[in-house]
Amino acid sequence: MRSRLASLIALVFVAWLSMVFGLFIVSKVIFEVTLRWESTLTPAVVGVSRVVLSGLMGIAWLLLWWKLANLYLWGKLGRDG
Amino acid sequence: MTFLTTPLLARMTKKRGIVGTDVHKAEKPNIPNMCGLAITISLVCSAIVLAVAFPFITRRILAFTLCVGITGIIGVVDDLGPLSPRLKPLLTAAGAVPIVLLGTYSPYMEIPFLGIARLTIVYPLLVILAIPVLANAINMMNPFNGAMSGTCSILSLAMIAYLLLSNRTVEAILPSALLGSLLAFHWYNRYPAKVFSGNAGDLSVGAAVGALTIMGRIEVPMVIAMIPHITNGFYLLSSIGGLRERREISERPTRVLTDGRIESTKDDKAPITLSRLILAEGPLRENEIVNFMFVMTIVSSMLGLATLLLMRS
Repeated sequence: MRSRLASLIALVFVAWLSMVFGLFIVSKVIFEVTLRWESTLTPAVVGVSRVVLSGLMGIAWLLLWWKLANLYLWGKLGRDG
Repeated sequence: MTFLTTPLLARMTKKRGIVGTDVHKAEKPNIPNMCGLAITISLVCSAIVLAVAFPFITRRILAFTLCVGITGIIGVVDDLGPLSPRLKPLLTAAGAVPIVLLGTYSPYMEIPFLGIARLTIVYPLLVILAIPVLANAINMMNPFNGAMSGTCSILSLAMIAYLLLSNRTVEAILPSALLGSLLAFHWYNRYPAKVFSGNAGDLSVGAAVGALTIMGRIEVPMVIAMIPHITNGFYLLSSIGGLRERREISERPTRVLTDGRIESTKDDKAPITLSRLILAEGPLRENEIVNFMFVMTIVSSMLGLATLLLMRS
């Protein structure tokens, strides 16, 4: 019972950490860092690229959660199908 | 009010044959369905009383009432004759329209590390997306007796704490009404359930949580508090390959054993759900699964609180 609870709490914790870390990367890296060649692009292109990169970060969180859930489930259950 | 209207609704729905089969019990009893409508009715009535008592927040209360009422009606339609799985989220998005039209949101969103983000154009679109996502996420988190009413009671309590810590005392009034209503409903819905909330209850409670999150400006802590609900919805949709009706999925994620315990199936075509993850280490009784869901929601709510404190520091 205790190991089951620990695993489930760990899943919640990983989801939280990935969100907080993701927000940190988005705000402190994607939206703060200015690249040297950035001046050659229009501000709109730079803005859209930052939003797209942040979106990709969101998809990365979801894929991480999906992978972890699959690993945990099939690691414990074993596959029949 | 929910405490009094739920048994009345249960009698009415049972008489009209609006019942659901409790598939996780060995004897498969028929339970009065759609009784979550008692929560919707109580929330609308509480909102009317609150509008009289606090006239300075009438617009906010009106937006909340319309949002809960619209999603409740969609839920009733879905309970009486199932809506297409693609149409249901589109219709529940209508619940967001009063919030946008009445302007009861702030486009200045507080994000950890970033501070206040000005989202004048994007925010109304996020509102229209958030209401159906949260309403359906809560709807998907109701496979067992008392799961929705219990986890949403915890979420409402967390919401009140976040609002009080943010010095938004007036905004905490409506979540208090939601908490009271959910606790009263949980009395009847807890294991072994005497009533089912149905889509009518699930969708309106989900929309209420979404509307109060938006109006209270506690988006980030609430998204974190809802990690069990969001991950459950995401796992389910990813594993079945998008929006599909329950009847279209032939492989079941769990099965009931002869001793009444529930176990996860080993079929890799069956949807992956939170309950399946809970059961991965072995079979459990229905109330034990729900207790695990409660613990996960308490932990995520505390992490939401930690994030709020991080944002304030």
